[in-house]
Amino acid sequence: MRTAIKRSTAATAVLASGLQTALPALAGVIVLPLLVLLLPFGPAVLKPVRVLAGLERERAGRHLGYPLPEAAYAERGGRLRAVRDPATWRALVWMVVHGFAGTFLGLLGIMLWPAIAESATIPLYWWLFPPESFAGMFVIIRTWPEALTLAPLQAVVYTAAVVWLVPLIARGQLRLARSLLGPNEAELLAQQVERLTETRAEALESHGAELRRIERDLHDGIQAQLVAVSVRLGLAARALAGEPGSPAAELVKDARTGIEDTLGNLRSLIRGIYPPILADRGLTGAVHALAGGQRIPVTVRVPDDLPRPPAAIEAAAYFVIAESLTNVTKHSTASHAEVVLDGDGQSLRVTVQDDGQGGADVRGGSGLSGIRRRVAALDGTARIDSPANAGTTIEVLLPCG
Amino acid sequence: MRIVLAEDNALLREGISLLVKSAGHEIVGIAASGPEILPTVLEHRPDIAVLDVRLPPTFRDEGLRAAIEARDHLPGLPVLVLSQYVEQAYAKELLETGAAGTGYLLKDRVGRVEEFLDALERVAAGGTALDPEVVSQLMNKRDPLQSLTAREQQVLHLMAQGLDNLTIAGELVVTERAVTKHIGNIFRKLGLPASDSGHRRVLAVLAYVNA
Repeated sequence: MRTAIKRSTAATAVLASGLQTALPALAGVIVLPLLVLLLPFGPAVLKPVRVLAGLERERAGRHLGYPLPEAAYAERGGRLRAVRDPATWRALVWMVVHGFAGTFLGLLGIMLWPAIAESATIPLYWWLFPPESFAGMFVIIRTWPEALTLAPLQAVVYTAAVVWLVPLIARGQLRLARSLLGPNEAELLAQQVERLTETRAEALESHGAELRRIERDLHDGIQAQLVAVSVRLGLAARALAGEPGSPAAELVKDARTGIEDTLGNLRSLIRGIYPPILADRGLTGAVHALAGGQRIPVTVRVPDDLPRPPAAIEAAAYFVIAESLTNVTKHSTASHAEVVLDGDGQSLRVTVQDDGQGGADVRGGSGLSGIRRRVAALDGTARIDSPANAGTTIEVLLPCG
Repeated sequence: MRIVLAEDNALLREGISLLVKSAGHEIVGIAASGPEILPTVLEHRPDIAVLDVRLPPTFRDEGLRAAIEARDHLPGLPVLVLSQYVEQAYAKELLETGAAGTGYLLKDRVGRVEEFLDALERVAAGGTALDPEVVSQLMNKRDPLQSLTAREQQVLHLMAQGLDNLTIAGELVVTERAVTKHIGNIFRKLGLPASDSGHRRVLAVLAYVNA
């Protein structure tokens, strides 16, 4: 009982607050023909409609308990953009429906409560009015039996309306606002993609910062400490030089060899995480160094204004180029190769091309599948083109944000 | 020898100090960051500058750039660059400032005390010391060196590091005469002009593998 009253009160409040937007919407309906005629002159015409829709979204969001995201209105583009924009049309449909229905239902919701009381109390005072003149809402009361049956029945009907119908209508009104003024499924999806793209860019950035930090920590911390220990061991070995073959001298020698191995492993580990030359020289410098270390001449072409990609993308690009060039020298019998970097800040394109025999095993080769894996992990695409006797081209596109 | 040392890691700085002192050398100046190197070197005019590649403020290659800069101000200044990793491109940049009195070694090598001190003294005396790993990177470029026997390739590798015949003989446990013979064969097979020992020989070998 109490929950029913609570629910009905809340629903009535929804309908009553709906009047705040329904009345301006009704006014908007009156000038609707003018709005539609002006629509081709640009989205600005609909600014008031959007403000009103914004207020309604806020109201509906308040009652629903979660904020309603804004529909994706066409902001840019030519004049006709507003005409073709589905979000604009949905807002106009809402305005018409809510203008009429919202006004009517708002008033109805408010009036039903006193109407119950009025209906229930008719028997107390109907007879005070002159005959044939009393109308208790929808029922004309002429006789006592009518007053004692129809009036309570009306009260029951009104109560039922308040208890069941009003919450239903209120919910419908909020849903209408949600479906017509919020984004539709495609827009929601687009917004989600946009948000994911943003978070991915942030993740890439922080991942890159992490890579650099790990690389520096390993180099400046652990590696330096190991070298310092190995220097001391070296000095100990020197002090023990007088007694070669002694157990202590052997142990020191073993320890030093162990540290040297560890240092070697550490170096290749670091190279796999984040090639240090990337930190020193950036992608361009690192690729030039890489090209200079090949057995065949490798031309590198990089635009001067190439925006610096996130560190994780740089590391992947470097890996792709290193792996591709290794393949070139190992398998292709090429006499020349070319590396081209290109990007606009949105994505980085890496192309490695050689003039070798082609026919690379696109699916099998561990190098090529390694490239695919590394690129796919960053949402990139790799295209490997290797027709027989016509060289091999590896083109990789990496999204930067 | 009077040494200027540029190294930002205190532990390592101390280790290297201990090491060179044990061989009777002296650290006359210390730089803890890239920009400090040139003033320190100009102030002390050391017999050799030992520089870490990565130093504050940017932790990139300031040691390398400072070495090149110092060479501009003091031509012929012996420089030994120590690095956390070796990169043949860096070796080339360094050697372009002159191979005489130039060293480029992995930091790891410092632990091999005798070899490190040898390299230090060799560079200070105008020789060359290249890390075996750099030499491997460079020699990988020129494949196949098939005309050389396995032993000759070993000799070539050691020669490129800047070692003299006596040291090479010690490394390979052969006589110095055998090494001289191998070297003669190498130069003949690769068509290199005969060079005396020292940095000119290194240059000739590097010019060949880099061609």
